[in-house]
Amino acid sequence: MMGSKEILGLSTSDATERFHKQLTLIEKQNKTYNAFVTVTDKYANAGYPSLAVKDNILVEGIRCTSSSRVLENYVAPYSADALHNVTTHLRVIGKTVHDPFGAGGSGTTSDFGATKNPFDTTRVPGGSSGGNGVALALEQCDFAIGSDTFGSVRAPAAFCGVVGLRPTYGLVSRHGLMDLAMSLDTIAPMARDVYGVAYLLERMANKRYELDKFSARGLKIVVPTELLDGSAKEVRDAVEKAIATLTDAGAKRVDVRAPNLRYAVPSYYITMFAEFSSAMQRFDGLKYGPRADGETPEEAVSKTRGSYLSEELKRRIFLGTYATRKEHANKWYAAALRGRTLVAKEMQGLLKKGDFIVTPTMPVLPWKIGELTTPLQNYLMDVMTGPPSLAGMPALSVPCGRTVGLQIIGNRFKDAEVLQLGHAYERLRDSK
Amino acid sequence: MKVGLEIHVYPRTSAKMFCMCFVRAEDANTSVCPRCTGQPGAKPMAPNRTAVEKAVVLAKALGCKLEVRATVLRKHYFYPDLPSNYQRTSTPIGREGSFLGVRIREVHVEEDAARYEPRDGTVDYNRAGVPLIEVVTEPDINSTDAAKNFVDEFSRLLHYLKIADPSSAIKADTNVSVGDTRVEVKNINTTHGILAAIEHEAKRQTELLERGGTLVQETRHWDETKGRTLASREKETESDYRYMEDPDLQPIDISSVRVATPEDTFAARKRLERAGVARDAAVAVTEEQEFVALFDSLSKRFEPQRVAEWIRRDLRGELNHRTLTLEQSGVKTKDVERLMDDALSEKITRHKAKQLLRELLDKKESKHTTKASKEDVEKAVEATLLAHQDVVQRYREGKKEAFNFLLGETNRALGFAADPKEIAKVLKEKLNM
Repeated sequence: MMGSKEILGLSTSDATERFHKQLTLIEKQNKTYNAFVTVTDKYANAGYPSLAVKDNILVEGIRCTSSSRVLENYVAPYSADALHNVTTHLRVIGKTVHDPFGAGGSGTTSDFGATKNPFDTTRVPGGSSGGNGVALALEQCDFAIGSDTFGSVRAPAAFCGVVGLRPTYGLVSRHGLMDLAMSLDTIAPMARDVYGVAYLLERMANKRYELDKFSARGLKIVVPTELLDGSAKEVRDAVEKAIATLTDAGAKRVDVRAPNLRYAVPSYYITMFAEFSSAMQRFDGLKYGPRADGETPEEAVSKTRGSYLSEELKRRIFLGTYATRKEHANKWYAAALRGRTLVAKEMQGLLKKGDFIVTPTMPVLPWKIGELTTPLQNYLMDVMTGPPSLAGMPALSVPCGRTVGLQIIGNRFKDAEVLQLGHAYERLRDSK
Repeated sequence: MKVGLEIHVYPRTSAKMFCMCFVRAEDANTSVCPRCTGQPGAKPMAPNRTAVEKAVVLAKALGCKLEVRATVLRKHYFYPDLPSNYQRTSTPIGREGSFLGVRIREVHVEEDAARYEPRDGTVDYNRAGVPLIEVVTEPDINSTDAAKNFVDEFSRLLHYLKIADPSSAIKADTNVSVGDTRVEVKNINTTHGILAAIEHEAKRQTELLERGGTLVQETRHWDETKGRTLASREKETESDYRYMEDPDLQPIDISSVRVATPEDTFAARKRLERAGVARDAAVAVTEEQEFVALFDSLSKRFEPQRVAEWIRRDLRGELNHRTLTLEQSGVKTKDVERLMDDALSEKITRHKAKQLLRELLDKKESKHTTKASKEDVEKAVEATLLAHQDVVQRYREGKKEAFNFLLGETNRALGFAADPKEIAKVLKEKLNM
């Protein structure tokens, strides 16, 4: 398999040839895996390596559905800021499937069909940026841009065996990314290796990153033990092995307890419900998407939202509306903000004890499609990816097993360091 | 009677509140972008700094205590005029002020909604996101006269401090209670409408009570063309806007807004009156900061009342005629000052001064700054006689007033640069030839 660096070094004609092979591959495999919702340029004289863009990020002139029927035929009138310097060097091959509006962790709840895990089509690819993970794993594309609110690039990166980074909140412009929870949303790069992710982030954030000048020697790696203990055995084993690889290279392991991290999931979900319900107000059928008829405008809006929003979206909107009602605002939303502060403080405290925090990305291996039956079971899968999101910290998922991710978390705006450690780990892992 | 006001002012700024779109456009939906039409994924830019500064100036002028920061909130409701079905509005920028004895509850900024025409079902988003400053008073206005005075002086203040966009009217909601029942009147879109609505509503309530009726707490709409308030068709429901801090925006740092606190209209007026300016002239001069600047400069050399009167009658007269402010006219204050200096020191006639002023305002280069020569006068007289042979005929028939007409025409043709006596002499010579 070619590395990102080599792919970026391909000649124009070789890149075009590769691009066309990928188009053929998508055509052949999409029925099975459903990674793409729109393939953008079948006859492209590409000349550049391929880029997949999650369908909740706008690319001017291309349909942007956010995997939801309310935007079934919406053509983006502008491009996301984060893409401006990326699309000058990469060619958009298509828009990828995800959980509608990023609201889901499995990658299987799109209104246009479930995406399947590249290693086992009966299992979930992880979400919400599931299509990106699958497309990268199957080499249907070479680079991908997704979004991460509470783990949406890290979960599919782990389950599909690729790399995904949630950048520091605020590092990359969100203009052009559809809202899920605005105080947490990020546009996030994915690739098959850390080099590719770093390349994308450089162009998205307009920075230069030096990956090579880095050594694990003398680093302090903080390991919150309850997160490791709470994981499935296969996950724990793979992550322990990864940590051992780093300690063998001279890093020092610091085991800690971090009880306040347990507030992450409830704080997040209430915050997200509230912000999401506000963001979704605009989908009333008057401006875009299908519209249901009604006797009165209110009825038309209500019927439109009732008919074209998925169950999970409606659940989140209802809960958010409930949580922000005047009489409940202090009980729920304000409490969630307090919980969020507790988690952020805990995370900052952990990073005073060492340079990086290391956890599994997901607590389990990819589950069977349909296996998790209640929303709560799904929500609890965010237990690892949630805390850095609430703290606004950069978090990288690097494969440390076929479908297991090692999550590396650094201080805010230390994205370069997180990428450097990920890159160093990748090399140590592959040299074994 | 107790009246409170919620006044909406369009601040003087060229950009919308959260994007760079211009605040006005001729054709519908031409000053729009993904942000102000609420496209999926679009994020607001930081609040328009000028709008915030204008709100701070106003809050200070109304004697409000300034907040350290203001948070931008989302106010949610479904209506076709809201692109995202929420409106962004800030928490107070200033609180607890007072103006003409009326307590000011608070001053904040917000964005306007689009213009929705229910009859044809169209929406014009040019107005969506245009900045607004809202001033909320306590219900301290206790008569229609007090309301008139309040609205007049408030408008003057807005104009004088350059807060309001001169091309936009102020909008208002008001609450009027003659007895114990509070009635809200919404949808007032002119200064005149505010007073008319208050008067109408007070009268309606009084008459209803006199007839033995009972008032209900309700929201009514002002119908400007009919000149009356109408009960809203919408049901009175307890609305919950689910106010929420906008997660896309940082709080506005009020403490970092540095604005000069200019002398307000009252202080300026008092100062002028103390210098010996009559009340009406003082009121006129304090309409514009530019007038006051002219006054301050010229009253050092000339008698203040004369300066003020010149501004009131001549300068303001010419400007009003063109519905312009001095600032809008684009004329340099320096040029007006030089002209006034010549006029007040009687280097030029009042007539000549006015003529020059008109030329300045109409952007014409003044051709005759020096006195016209005898030759010029003769030429001009000949031209006038030629152009108005019918008038010449009437003069010769004995209509003596025709002479004044010909004199005036010649004078104008010469740009008032010649001595009228000289013109009269030449005119007589030619007519009697």
